[in-house]
Amino acid sequence: MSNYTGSEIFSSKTKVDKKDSKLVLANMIWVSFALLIGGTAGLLQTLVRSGQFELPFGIGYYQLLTLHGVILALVMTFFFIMGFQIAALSRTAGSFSTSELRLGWTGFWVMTAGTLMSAAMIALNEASVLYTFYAPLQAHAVHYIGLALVIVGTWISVAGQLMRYFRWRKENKGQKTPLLSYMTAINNVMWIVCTIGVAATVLFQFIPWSLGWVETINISLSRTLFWYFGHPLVYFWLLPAYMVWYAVIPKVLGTKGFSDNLARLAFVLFLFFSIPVGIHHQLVDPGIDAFWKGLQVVLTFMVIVPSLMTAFSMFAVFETYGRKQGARGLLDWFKKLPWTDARFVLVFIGMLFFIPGGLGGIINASGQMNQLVHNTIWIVGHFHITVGAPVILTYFAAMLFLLPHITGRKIDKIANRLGLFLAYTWALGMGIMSLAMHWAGLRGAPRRSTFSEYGGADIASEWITYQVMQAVGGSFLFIAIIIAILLFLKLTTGPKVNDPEEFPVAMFMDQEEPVVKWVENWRLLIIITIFLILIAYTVPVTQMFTENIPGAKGFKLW
Amino acid sequence: MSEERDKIKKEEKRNEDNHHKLDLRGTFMMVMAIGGLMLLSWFGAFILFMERM
Repeated sequence: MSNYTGSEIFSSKTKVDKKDSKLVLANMIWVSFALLIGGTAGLLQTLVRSGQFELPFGIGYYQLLTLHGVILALVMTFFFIMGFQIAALSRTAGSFSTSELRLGWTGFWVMTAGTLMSAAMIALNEASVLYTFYAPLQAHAVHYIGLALVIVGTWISVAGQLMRYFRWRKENKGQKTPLLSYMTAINNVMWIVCTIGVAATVLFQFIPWSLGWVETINISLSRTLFWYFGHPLVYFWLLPAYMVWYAVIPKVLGTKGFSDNLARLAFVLFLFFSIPVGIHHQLVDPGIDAFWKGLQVVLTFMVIVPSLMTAFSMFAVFETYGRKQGARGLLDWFKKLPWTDARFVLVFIGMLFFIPGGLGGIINASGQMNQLVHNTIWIVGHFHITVGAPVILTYFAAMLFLLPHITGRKIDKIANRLGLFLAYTWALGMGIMSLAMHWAGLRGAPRRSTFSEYGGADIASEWITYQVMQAVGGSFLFIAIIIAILLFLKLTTGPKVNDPEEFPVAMFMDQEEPVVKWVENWRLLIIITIFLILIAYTVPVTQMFTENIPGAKGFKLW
Repeated sequence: MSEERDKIKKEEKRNEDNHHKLDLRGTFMMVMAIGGLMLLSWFGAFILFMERM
C-alpha cells in the first residue's frame, strides 16, 4: 500500500493505483453512458420546443425532461465525482486499503442499482416529476427509493474516500495534507451535511406519501429540504472542477499554482457558504418570512468571495506563465497560453463561460429581483452555462488525461485534436443555446414547459425564434457529445505504452510554507458549517411545522 | 564563479515564487473587469425590474 509524501506527490511518475484504477474506470463508463442518453434527451427536448418536431412512440416531453435532468444532473455527475475523487486520492495520498476500496465498489453498485430502478420508472412513464421531484407531482415509490439508493451509494463511496484521507493524516502526523486530497475531503464533508436534507424529505415525506401510507405532503417543507440539498449540489458538481483548475492546470502549463493556502481557504469558504443558502431558490415561495429569505440572500452573496479568489488565482497563474514565456505587455500573456493543448483549452473555455454564469447567478439570487427571471427559461440558460459548460468541460479535460492514465495509454495527436473539436463544438452549441434561453427568459418564456403557442398570444410568438435557436445549439451539443464518446473510446483502446499519460499535480508558489492550521481543524470547520445552517434554517423550518400548512394530495398530470 | 552563479539562480528561483515580486498588472485588470461586468449586468437587470414594476 502506497503512502505518498513530499516530492512523490508532484512526480509525473506517481500513478493512481492499479486496483483503484478499475473502480475509477467503472465510474467513468457510467459517465459515458449517462452523457449519451441524457444528451440525446436534451437534443429531442430542444427539437420539440422549436415547434418543428413531435416525439414518436408516445414518449412524453416531461418524461424526457425528467430523464435529461436525472441522468445528467444526478447520475453522470455523481459517477464522475466519485471516480475522479477516488483517482485524486489514490494519486496524491496513495492507494486505497482493501476495506476502503470495498466501500468504493459497494457504493458503486448501490448507485448502479438505484439508477436502474429510477430509470425503469422513468422509462415506464411512472416518474415524470422532473429531477427536482416537485410535490405535489407524485411519482411511483420505486423512483424515490431508487434515487435514495443513489444517494446512499455516494455516502458509502464517500466513507471509503474519507477513510483514505484520514488514514494519510494519521500516518503522516504534522505534515501538510496533499491539496487534492484535502479538497476531496471538503467536498465530501459538504456532501454528507447537505444530503441529510434530501434524505429526510425522501424517507419521511415522499416514500410514505407515494406508497399511500399518508395521504398528503407538506409541500413547503419538501421544497425547503430539497433546496437545502439542491444548492450545495451545485457546488458538489463544481468543486471537482475547481480541483482541476487549482491543482492540475498549473502543471499542464508547466508552472506552479498561485497559492496552496489560498486554494484551501477558498474551499473552506465554499463549505461554509454552500449550504445555508437554499432558500434563494424559493424567493417567490409563500410560507417563508421575508427576513429569512433576505438572510439567505446575504449568505449566498458570500460565495462571490471564494469565486473571485479563484478567478484571481487562475489569472495570476496564466499571467505568471505568460510572462515567463516572454510576455511584456498588459495582456499579451494570453497569447502565450498553450492553445493547442486540449486539456487546457477545454478548461479555459469552461472558465470563460463561468464569467456570465456567475453574473447571472448574482441576478437570480438578488431578492425581489428574482421575479424578473423566476421560472423562466433564463434559469435553464443559467445552469447550462454553469454546470453545462465550466463543470462539464472540466470533467472532459479530466477524462482526457485520466482515462489514458488509468488504462496505460497516452493522449496522442488524434485524441488531442478530438479534444479541441469537442471544446469548440461544445462552446458553439452551448453559446447559441444558452444565449437564446437567457433572452427568451427575459421576455417571459417559461421553463419546464413543452411547445405551445399559448392560444396565439403575441408574447408567445416572440419566443419561437429563440426556441429555434435553442434547437440549433442543442444540435451542435449533440454533435459534441458524439465527439466526446469517440474521444473516450480513443483514449481507452489501442496499444498500451510503458509510460502512460501523466495525472498532472502542480506545486504551488507557497509550497514550502506551512498550512494555515485552522483550515485542517475539521472539528472547527464542521461546527462553523452547522452553526451557519442552524442560523439560516431553524426558524423557517420550525414555522413549517407550527403554522398548520395544509397538506397536498398527489397529482399525476402526465 | 560557479558558487556565485548558483547563488543568482537560487535568488531568481526565490523571486519567481515570491508573491510580492510577481508582475500581475494583467490579473488586476481582468479581475476589475469581472467586477465591472458584475455591476453592469446587475444594474441592467435592476433597471429592467424597476421598469416592469
